Amino acid sequence: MIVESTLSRRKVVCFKSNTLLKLSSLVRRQLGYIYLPDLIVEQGNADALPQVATGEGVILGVEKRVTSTLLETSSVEKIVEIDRHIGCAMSGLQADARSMVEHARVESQNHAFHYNEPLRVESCTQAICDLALRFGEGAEGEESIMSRPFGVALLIGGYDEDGPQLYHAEPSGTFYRYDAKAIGSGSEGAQAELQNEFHKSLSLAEAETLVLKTLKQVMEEKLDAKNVQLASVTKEKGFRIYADEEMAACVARLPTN
Amino acid sequence: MAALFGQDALTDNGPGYAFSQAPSSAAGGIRERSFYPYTDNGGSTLGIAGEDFTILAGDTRSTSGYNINTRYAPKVFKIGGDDSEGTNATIILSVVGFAADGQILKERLDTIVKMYRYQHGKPMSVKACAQRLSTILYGKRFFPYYVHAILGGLDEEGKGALYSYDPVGSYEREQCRAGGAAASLIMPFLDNQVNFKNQYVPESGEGHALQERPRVPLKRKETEELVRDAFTSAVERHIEVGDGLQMLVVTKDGVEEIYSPLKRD
Amino acid sequence: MDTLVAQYSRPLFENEGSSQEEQLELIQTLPPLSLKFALPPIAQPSAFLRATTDDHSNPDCPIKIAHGTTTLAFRFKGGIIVATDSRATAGNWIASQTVKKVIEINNCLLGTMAGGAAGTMCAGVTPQEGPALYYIDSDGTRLAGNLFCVGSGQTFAYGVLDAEYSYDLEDEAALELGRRSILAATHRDAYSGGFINLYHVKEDGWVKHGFSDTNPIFWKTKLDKGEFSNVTSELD
Repeated sequence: MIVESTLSRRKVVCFKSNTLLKLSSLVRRQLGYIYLPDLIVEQGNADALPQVATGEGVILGVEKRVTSTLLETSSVEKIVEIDRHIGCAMSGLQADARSMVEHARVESQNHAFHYNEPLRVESCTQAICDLALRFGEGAEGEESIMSRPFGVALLIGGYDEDGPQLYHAEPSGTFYRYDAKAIGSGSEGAQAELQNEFHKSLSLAEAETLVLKTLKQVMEEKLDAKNVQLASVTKEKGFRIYADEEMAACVARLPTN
Repeated sequence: MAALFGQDALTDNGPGYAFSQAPSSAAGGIRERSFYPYTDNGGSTLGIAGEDFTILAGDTRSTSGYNINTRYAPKVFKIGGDDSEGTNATIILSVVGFAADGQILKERLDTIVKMYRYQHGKPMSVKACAQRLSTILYGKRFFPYYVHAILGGLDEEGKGALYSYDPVGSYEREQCRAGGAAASLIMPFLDNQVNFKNQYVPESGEGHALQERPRVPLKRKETEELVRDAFTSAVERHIEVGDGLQMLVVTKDGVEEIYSPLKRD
Repeated sequence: MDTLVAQYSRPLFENEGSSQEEQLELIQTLPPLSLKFALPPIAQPSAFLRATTDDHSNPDCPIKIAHGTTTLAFRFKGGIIVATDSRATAGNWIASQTVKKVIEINNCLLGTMAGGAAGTMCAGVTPQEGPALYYIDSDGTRLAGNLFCVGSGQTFAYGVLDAEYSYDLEDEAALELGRRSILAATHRDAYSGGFINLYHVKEDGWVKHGFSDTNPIFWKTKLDKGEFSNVTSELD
């Protein structure tokens, strides 16, 4: 049975209603919390034309919400590396994301060990989503490992033989491929902005600007180089989180208004 | 075949399954059975990688001891095709040693390559298959498959690719390799004819000044001739090789099978 | 050893034929990263293994695993030199003359391999340690050091290396010393031969210095430098 619980502004899809109800107090509190606090915007320019080959890649961007002036901002980790060629940004329970990312990292290394080739981005996404169903009592032959479903959505960006790709993995275990995607609070507005601005021949630098522009529109705080984070996945350099100076340069490029 | 089933285990010194050997008694009435699950089924295989093709070949005789079990037991197989016949396969495997281990190894690899296609939505490359075969073999490091495997196909650039393995998965990409009973007869011939080992350019100098003959990739037709020569010669001097020669040739157009008879004595 | 092995493998005396678990494994394309090693269904797997695969204790063993080697590595002021031969033997049979015994782990780490009872070496430059060299073997020995030779031809390589080694060698001289030590081993150890595989590990990563046939190098060393004068090229 599938239950849709509208605990927050977003819907949470969950299999096996009893699991959710039994663990209700904890889970509801957590699920209710899932989509509120943060915003993630992603943008990938897949199938770029050869003219912008230098700009081929995926840009991931997040808002780092600084909840306290005493918070060490570098400890907010919302973009992480899965492998040299795959990165991921998260929205929801970060603790859940960590175990999914850990699983993906092992899967990726395991694939490289057995096949002497990098894991495809889609296969990596699939591997993460396989994990999303392993809660509850456990079906025959397969051990269940969690008492509740994941409370986090991931955006997985990577580069493989098919070029740059971006996937959105939902907590339900389904995933879709996007050219550009925004998730988290304020994602409706952000997605609309991406819809208008995205085109297939975007260069990497244009993609950086678009991501920041979109974030800026939906952020409550004033965007600066400290409260956003960018990362890219390209053929040449693989996954890379932008250093402070690069962040500052990207923010400086934004049109002022 | 009696030896195979151990009716006469005590007088049988030839190869046979260990389950068949009579229990030996030790002090204290403890009875010990020896465990020897391997049989050498003889035969020979060879592989050569060319510019845009790879050939794997094997004779089709299967022996145990001095007995010939059958005159047609294939040693080269297509891996990861669309069906059990191996239609549209692009990778080939040869196994020689213990035929039952070879059979299982081939089936495992075939299953894995087929599953890979479903899971990753693309056909497996020879390079990936080569690494996977190595980890399969190494998974039985402490109870090895008694086989000498050779894997063939085309690499990402369309060039012939050939990988050879020891029984526990140590592997290497090579231009040519002979395996099995007549490996020591065929391999030196291949070194000379494929890699031009110990061939020098005529009149290029005296003694140590002699220049090595530069290596050139072989054409398909002359390679097939080379394979045939290797096997007809091996048949002359090795009792476990003969009956038929089975060749699988991978090119960009797929896998072609060629069978030709060998001496049956 | 057996207990250790058993921990990482299936229990002994499992049902004959394939269990459900084994059948599952057959269709699984990816086993877990910790390989589940299959074991023969007997009390002493190590005895079985010795009888079937160890040609040292049983020359008639049916499964001959390729080994036999010379590998060396040493630290000097310019980094680390790593050199190996390329021969693999199974009994008296030369299984291959083109084995790549240097493993390129990443752009600044190298490993070497030697089969049989010999060990491996790990050489690399890390920000924490600088140029570091370790010897490791299958029973868990781990030694840090400046200079190691490993394998059946190690004594011959040590002979040359110990005589000529100095920490203050220039890059070219160090490379030549690595090459010359392997050459000595291929000349005197029948289990070593083939090609000389030479690497130089520097601060910003390793550089490969060829995979070269020993035969012309031997004659060049003899004829140009007058070494190996014991070997004659004429029949008097």
